[in-house]
Amino acid sequence: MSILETERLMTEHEEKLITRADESYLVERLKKGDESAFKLIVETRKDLVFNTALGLLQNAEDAEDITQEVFIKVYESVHQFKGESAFSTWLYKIAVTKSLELIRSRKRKKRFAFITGILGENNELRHDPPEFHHPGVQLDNRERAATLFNSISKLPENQRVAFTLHKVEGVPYQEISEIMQVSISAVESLIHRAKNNLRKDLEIYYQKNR
Amino acid sequence: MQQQEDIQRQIDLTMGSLDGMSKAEAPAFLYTRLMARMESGTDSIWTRSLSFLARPAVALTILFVFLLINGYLIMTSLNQTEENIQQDYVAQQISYFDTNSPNP
Repeated sequence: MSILETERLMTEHEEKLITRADESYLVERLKKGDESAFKLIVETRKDLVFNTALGLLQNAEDAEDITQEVFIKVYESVHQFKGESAFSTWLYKIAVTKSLELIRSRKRKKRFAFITGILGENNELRHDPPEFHHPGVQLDNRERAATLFNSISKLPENQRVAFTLHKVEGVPYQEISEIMQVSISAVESLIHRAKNNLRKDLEIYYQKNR
Repeated sequence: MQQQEDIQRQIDLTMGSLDGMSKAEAPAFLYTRLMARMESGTDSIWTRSLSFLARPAVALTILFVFLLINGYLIMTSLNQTEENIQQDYVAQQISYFDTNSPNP
């Protein structure tokens, strides 16, 4: 594939047309330090990374920050990519890892929120995230989806990742198992438990907010 | 009963609220901002070092090693002190013996 052809793909945003063989070619070019290959990878895969990070972090600014970090990581450690899995799987892995690192860091900060709350101006509680509205949700489902995202944020880490990847990013079970490095049955179990936990949490929510 | 059914209906609707959602698009000019970030190289060696040291596992390991060295030094100094006391005692005994013996 020539540079002109890949540029055409980029300008037309036909990321689905970039096959695994094309990706391998791009990765090889990136390993050789080709910046146009890097640009093409960013332009064709930025939505995948951003949507994954947004689903997990539930904050657009954080998601953009993590998206940038993911591509910096790709640029710096592309030599470690052996091509054993799809390039998109590798990207998902990095995006999930980076997002979870940020979530853990936020949780640590939240534990000390009462201290910063005392020290902060007007005693405002600055660590409680606002209601999250995903831009891809249909307008009539907006409020319900925000309620669901709030419940998702309370799920254990593994269930949260599996459920979000499947429901928000539409990743099939097979690829989720590769991303999370667990068996397919484990993914099924995680999603099943996630749904049960979400139903329990929503039941409490609707009992309180009747 | 009716209330419970109503709650279950609300839960079903909420659980299905993400069905048919479209994917979020990354902000415009992400590549430009990414390149600016990479070129600025905000993560200096000091920033990286501090962020590495701030990791809980690293910080706890350093603390543990610090306490271990401290403990070792305290134990060593205590042993030395006991030995010194014994040596002083022996020295005093000898000197006492020396001063009181008319013809050693």
